Amino acid sequence: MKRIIHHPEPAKGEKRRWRSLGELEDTPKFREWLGREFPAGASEVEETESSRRNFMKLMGASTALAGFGVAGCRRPEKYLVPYTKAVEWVIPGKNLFYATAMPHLGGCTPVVATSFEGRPIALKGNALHPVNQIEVDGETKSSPGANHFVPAAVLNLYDPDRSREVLAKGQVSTKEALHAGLETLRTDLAAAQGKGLALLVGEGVSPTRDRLLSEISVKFPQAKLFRYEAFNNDKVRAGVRAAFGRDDLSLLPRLEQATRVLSLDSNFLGLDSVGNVALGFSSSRRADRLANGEWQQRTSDEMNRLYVVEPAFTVTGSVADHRLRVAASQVVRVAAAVAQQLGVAGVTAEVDERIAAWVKPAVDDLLAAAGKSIVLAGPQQPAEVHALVAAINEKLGAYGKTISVVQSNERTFGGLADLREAVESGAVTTVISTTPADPVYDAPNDYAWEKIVEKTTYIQLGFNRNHTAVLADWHVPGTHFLEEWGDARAADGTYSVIQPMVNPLVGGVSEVNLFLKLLQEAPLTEEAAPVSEDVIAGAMEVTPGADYEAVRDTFLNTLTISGDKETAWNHALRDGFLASSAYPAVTVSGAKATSPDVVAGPSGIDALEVRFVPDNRVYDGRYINNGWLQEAPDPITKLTWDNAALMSVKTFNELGLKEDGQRVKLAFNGREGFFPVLQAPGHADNCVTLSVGYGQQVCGRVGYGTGFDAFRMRTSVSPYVASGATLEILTSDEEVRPGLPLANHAPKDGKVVIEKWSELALTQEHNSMEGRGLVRDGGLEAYRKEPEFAQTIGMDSHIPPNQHIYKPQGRSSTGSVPFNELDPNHQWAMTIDLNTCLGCTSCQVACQAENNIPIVGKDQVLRGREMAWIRMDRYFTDPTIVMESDPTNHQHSDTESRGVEILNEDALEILPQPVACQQCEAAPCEAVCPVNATVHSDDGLNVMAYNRCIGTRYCANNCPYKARRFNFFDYNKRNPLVTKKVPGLEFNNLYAGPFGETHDGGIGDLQKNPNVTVRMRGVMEKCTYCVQRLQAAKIAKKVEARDSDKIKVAANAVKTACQEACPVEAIQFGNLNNDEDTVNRFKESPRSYDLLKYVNTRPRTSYLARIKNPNLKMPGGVEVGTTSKHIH
Amino acid sequence: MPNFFPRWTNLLPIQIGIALIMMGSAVTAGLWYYFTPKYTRVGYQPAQPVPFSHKIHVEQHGMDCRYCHSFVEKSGHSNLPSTATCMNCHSHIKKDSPKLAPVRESWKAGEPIEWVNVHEVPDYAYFNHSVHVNRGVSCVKCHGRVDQMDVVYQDQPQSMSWCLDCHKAPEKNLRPVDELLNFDWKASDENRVEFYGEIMEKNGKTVDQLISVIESDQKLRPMENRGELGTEDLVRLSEQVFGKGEMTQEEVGLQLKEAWNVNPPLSCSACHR
Repeated sequence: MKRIIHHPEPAKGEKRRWRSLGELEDTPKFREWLGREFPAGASEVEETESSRRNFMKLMGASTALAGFGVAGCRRPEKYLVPYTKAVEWVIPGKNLFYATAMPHLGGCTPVVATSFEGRPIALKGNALHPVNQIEVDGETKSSPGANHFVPAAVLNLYDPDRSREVLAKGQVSTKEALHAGLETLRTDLAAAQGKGLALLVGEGVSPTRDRLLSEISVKFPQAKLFRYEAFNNDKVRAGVRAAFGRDDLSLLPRLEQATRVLSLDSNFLGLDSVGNVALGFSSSRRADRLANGEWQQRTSDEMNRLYVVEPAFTVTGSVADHRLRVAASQVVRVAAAVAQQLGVAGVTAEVDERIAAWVKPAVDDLLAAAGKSIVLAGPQQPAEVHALVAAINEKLGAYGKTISVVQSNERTFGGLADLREAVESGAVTTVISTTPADPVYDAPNDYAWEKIVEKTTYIQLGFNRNHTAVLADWHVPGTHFLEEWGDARAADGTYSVIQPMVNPLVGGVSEVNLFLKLLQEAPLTEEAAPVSEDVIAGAMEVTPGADYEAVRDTFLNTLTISGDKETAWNHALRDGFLASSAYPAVTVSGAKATSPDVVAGPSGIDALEVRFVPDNRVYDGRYINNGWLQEAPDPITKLTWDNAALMSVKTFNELGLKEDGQRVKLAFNGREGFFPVLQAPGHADNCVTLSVGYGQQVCGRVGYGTGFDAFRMRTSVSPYVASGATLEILTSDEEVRPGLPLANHAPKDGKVVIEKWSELALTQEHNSMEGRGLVRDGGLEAYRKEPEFAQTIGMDSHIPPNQHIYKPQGRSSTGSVPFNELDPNHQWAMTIDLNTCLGCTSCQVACQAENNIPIVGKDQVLRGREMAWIRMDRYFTDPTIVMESDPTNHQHSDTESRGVEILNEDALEILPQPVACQQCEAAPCEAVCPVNATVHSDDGLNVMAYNRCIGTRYCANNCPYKARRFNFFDYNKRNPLVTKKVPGLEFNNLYAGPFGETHDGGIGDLQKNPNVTVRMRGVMEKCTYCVQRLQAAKIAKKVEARDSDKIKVAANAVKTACQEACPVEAIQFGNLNNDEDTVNRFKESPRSYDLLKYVNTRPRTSYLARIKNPNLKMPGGVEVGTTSKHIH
Repeated sequence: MPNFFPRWTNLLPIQIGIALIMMGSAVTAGLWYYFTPKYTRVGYQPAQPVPFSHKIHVEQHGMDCRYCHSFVEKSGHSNLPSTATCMNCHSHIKKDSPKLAPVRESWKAGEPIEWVNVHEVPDYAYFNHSVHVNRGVSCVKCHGRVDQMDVVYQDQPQSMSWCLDCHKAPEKNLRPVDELLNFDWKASDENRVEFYGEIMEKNGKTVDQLISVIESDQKLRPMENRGELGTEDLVRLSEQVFGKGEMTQEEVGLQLKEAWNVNPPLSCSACHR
């Protein structure tokens, strides 16, 4: 008999948890999203603006360009094409792994590239590298996890829109012409001793580049060196210089040693991370530890406690135990107040009551844990904050304990302002730029960098054809870091090698090659040596290029190497780094700080404070053409394909705004910009946060037309925080002239229409699960008192003993075959520890790379059709809200005002939760599939046979976790970003049927994982626990077993893609039938619980409740982590 | 009114109808057959760019399959030899043979030879050579006597049902690992005493266990005096069950399957993912 399960309604007096304000207020729109697994086309998107935008868009690497499929009546003859000469190490059909490094601000991320027959197809962190290893309790822990830019970076390599051609003043030119031009330049410069030459490089730290720059300085003694990226560590350096009077210091947080952490606007777990601090943080964040197979709760002194002071929620703020929202300009006051209380000489502070009440107990706590506490400041905060923090940390005894101080000996460079001055004064006439930044777009607007480009002979090396590239005298297409030789120093100074995985795909030139070219007569790119004519000898050795020699020279001649140098070089190539090459530690003391200049914070809605931050997806705009990042929702706002002006709910209401997406005119710094607004609960009042990097006019087809340009609003006076902004709500569409006079790129009539409303593709209400007790948390004390609290929350406390609605596979109604005996060797399972999960979406992007998941475009996201197998849920919870009205009444009469008015934005907490297929043992989806396309495997997976699927979508409708995704269109074959025109009509390419364009074999297809089927239209798909990796592991074990019977995969031998990508080891995966697998320990954890346990689907994925470590003396401290207690 | 049409035309519509139905049925049946696993490419023998003869290389010269298909035991793919592999010998032997011209050209130009694919696995199925050839499935079981072919053709249907036949009853195709490349091997070549002795030694099995394998497979009543049973009891039992004289494939396969824990996956995810 069918049993109907009545999900409990939320009870009166319950504390609410919600994903969107729509859910909190229970709007009709939200209820519609809730009710339908796949909302229909009812919410048709207004196509007016997007059609203009879509016109230019064609294809991203995610869905690359076209070719004709040859369809014939005859069976096509297929060919097998072996190598002419077998390539070293390559075994056709098997992956190879190479260590390399991804350069970025302040160092590099060491990565391991997965290479399939010469194509790099995935990136993950390098667990061997010292920055990914920490010492905890005498044990070394390592993790291959990294932030979401790492797995996404591989897509840029295959971006069909990356720069391919040499440009001369925006016109396509040839390499020969460039070569000749550079030769002339070189001889002229040599004659003039380099007078007028300026080199502009990026923020990465590269020994080879430094060596070449020194050589250039010798050859061209008058050449000047500059460094620029829009986001940099200049203020940190300036602060350290002010405090210690030294330029060569680098302060590295060691959070595994810290039990009390205060962040002053530092998103150190997210975009401001230095090295892999998230791993260290997560290890001290754990609420329990495993000792002899038993879980022991930590005390509140052993588990770390995080205080965060920030203007808008970040990934870091969402983890905080205590969070203070203040305007960015007021963080300096907080820093001063902390310093004053700690007795830093000469610092006085004036703060209002709210801040004082918060700072006092927090600092007491930090001081009580002196030697185990640390204060971190964000790189966008002014230098005086960093100086204060340096002094504070000294008072806390952090140096040498929670902070290692190292001597970095970085070369000094001039900044962008210096370069501008030099150009204005005529001292510089030639600029050679290799910075990944795009100064015409991202430099402070008052620099008018396009004029600088015009004034000088500007040679720009760049990966993207960006704003600077089309204006420069010469644009040289650059290489991806997977195509070049190079090196970098990681955050701790460890020398890391960048080695190419593939020859430049589209003929790029690397930075090293360009500098070598400046130094000597050399070809710009190394062509492979011709194949030998000598048939017998078969000498087809390819001579290594000059860039390889340059990097090797640096390694052999400038580094301190113990032992044989050649061996060390080979080991460095194998491991990706040179062991013990980190910066030497130094001791410092006597940090000086003074009372900082303070300004008044924003007092009302007539003078708002605006803050510029790097974007979680496109960073400073360099990832604008990366479809995976564009479609990975922002961890906090859940916004895709756009940016928006974020503000608190209170400010939003005070401004009289009605709806997210309303366009407003922001005016400050003498500039005007049009942005859609978005409520960001927990934002500081009277402030607006703008993330930059969007709204680019010159970029690839994926990024074109996405978002709104905030860089244009920035000036050199207030590059990160601007005050006195006024906001005006657009009441009608407005016509404006675009900001940049870019030849050939301005709209034809010179005007753009700004609409009064923009549709924002938010995913926060998608796949919502009725607010059941899905995400669970608790305070540490409650956990210590009752360790198993998470298992009895809500309905889980009264589950009937024998409730079965779905029959587990392999088990008859009499229960003859226990499930795990179907395959006695392997039963796969996963745990996700919400305690360390940051919600950073790294797993989501890595999954996309591993499993060939397509992007679907903004229009489809708006229809709720995003394909990501892991959806990163983000819940807001406010422990101070208690429901008052009768929640069973879903009529809207009395609920209109419920919600935002009683919202206490000071007390908000965020709980992230990644949800993928739960691999239920008694899976509801399997029971309803009419064609047996989704069935259970013996090893406990809920598998999909794509080829059998006929697309009824019954399974998705029956999935209580909303974990299934449907290919409404051929997303992998059809570019969703193209608009197709047939006379009189305009379609999105997806809807164009036979008129649409499809593609096969484009450059983007090179990224595809050959071990995973590329799904077509009409097929259901979902997380498979990376079944291809499981099969590979089982096969490898069987091959090893040969004629023995030892076919059980070794403990912890298989890792899923999401698990590898997780920087904080929140995901554990393994075999239930192998007791040595770590996942079994996590399954035994008292914090472990199943989602919707009372439905009795018996999911294989379980979650570990999040534990907060509140300081009860803090304002609101008793409320922290109490929301789960009463939830249903 | 005169009769414009002769009488026989009265039947014409019916005849046309029947003809259409018959043609429709024929087309449907043809298509139907084409899409069933029964339609296979057995016998498909395309011409190759180089008239390479397995017969000469393997049967006459006694080359090992793995000289050219070098990664078959390591990788999912059984690789084709690179041109360099051919040139290892053919830069000395038959240097100027016109038949080898494409190979020499490939070597000089660095352009690969495009061999025509004979055995095709659909894109949505993931077959792995290494796990089969390492676990007692000989090349000959799927590819036939390639060693006797001048031009390679498809010998087995290689349809899904054909795969499943073996996955359901692997004992029909298993053989000792050192006989994998012996294409003439037959179960009857094995000697019972030696065969069982080897299994007991290599896989640490006892007589008792081997007897149990046969008993449980044949659903026999278990023998008594289990502790005192010796090899001769085992041989006697197997002779009783599988017949006196030569060993049968079933007998060999059954013991190997149990001794090696061969349990071919039947779940969809084994091949489709």
